[in-house]
Amino acid sequence: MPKSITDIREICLKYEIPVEQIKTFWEELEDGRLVTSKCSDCDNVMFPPQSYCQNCLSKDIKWIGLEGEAVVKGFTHICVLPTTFSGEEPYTIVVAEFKKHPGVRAFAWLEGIDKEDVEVGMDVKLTPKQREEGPPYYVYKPV
Amino acid sequence: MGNRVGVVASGQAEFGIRSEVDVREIAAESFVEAIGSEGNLDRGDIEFASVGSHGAGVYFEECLPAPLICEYLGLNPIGAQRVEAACATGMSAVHVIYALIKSGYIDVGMALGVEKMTEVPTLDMVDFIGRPGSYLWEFESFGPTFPGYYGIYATAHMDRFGTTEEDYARVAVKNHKYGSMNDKAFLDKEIDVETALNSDMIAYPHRLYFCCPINDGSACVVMASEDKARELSEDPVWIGGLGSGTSSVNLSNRGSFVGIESAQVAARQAYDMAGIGPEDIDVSCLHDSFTSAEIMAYEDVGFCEKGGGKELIREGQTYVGGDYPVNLCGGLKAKGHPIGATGVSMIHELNKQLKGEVKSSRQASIDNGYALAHNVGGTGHYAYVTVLER
Ligand SMILES: [Zn+2]
Repeated sequence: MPKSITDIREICLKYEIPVEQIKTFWEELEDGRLVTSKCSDCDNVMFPPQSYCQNCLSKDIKWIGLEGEAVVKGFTHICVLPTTFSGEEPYTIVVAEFKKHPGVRAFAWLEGIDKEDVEVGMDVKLTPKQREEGPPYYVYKPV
Repeated sequence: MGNRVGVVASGQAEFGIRSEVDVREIAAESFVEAIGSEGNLDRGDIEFASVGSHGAGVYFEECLPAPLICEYLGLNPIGAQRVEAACATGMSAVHVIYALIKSGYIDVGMALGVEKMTEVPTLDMVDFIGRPGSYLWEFESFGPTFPGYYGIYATAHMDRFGTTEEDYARVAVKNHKYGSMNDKAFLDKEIDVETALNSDMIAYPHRLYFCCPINDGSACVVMASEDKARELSEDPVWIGGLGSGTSSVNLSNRGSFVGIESAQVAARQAYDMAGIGPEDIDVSCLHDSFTSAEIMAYEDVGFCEKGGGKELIREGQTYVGGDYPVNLCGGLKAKGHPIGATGVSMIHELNKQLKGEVKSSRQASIDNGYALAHNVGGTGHYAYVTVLER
């Protein structure tokens, strides 16, 4: 007898993720523009965008252009890749803070740079990017 | 008549690749050890079970570990629940039982943490463990892994305070040393700094030996109201203080990457409740899912100023005989990190440390009678801290 039983029931997981409440973000990104949510009541700028203000819970949200220039706060190079990223080369992830929007940051890949040259404090720019298939996204580029 | 909550019994299964047992069987190992450790305690005394598992139904096949384990251990029809707080799942289960006893709802309850993590391929586990975080804004497009999330903190800490990869290797050396003295630890070999520094890069700056392993395990703690605890145990250890906190799921909403704010908040609450400070702690278990996280944790629980963590490991202050002995069980790094079991296992270890019941080579000197357990879920998405006293 085997010491374990290989499960014969398999399921393929793919989520349909609702983005209706923040669809402006995705529409603009598709057109190559970065925007994010700003609260009309308390002026709080949020990234990722939210349809409720986390500061005052207002639902009166407007959309503002996001100036992509940013400074790296921390980074990592992912060398052992998760199964669903197995087709990729090792990639660099950074969290950087926007220069024009103090206290607002984004989490994204940093592309177009040698791994040895990445450092905390360096200048980068968040840039929209399209996929051949799938939703648009955004990456940092060195400046 | 006091109204404290006591730990009356505890147990732990051997951590490791335990492919010969299923989730119920590995849970039974820690349960039977706990029940057997106190002659007056009978399983019929237990009124409620809080079962910690992060991955039930995903990491392993069973979706309802709480009633499943109650069935297997003959505990039906007691009340039960499954709790989840990422890597802090285990200690959240302990805190729930504390609250149920303290409220008077029950007199005796158990927290049992369990995880089976080796039934799916390793890179699938790397994927699952990378998803907690913000799925849409982090994982979907950028594929972080858990060593990567903590890597963002580690590079910020290195840049700000001059912490080095050697420091991260030194923590690995310490925790492997103590793991080698713990019969229940998964990784039982001592290593040196060079071995750690020359191991494969997983997610910069985290090399293989800077990361906790993926493995199976369970741990069990039985707790009781003060009167009941004195009845059931010759010598209960008391819960002196607790604290908990959360930080943003999106790392982009964190203000700083050199400390875990939720853990700082939780530690402060626990010290205040116990009426003590960091200087009173004789021994601790700190959440070293990555060796960089242990150095950050020294600072977050107040064993030194922010940025001073590297000095503690360089000076050997976190070894037996130092000012703050940390992770004398091997920690997550060497004992292992079966996610749901880890926080419960910390309470088990400190229960034994405070009673002077661990192997003498890894036994801390208990002078003040206080121990601290620090269990972080995600990268501080959750944090739970517990002070035990004797
Ligand atoms: Zn607002």
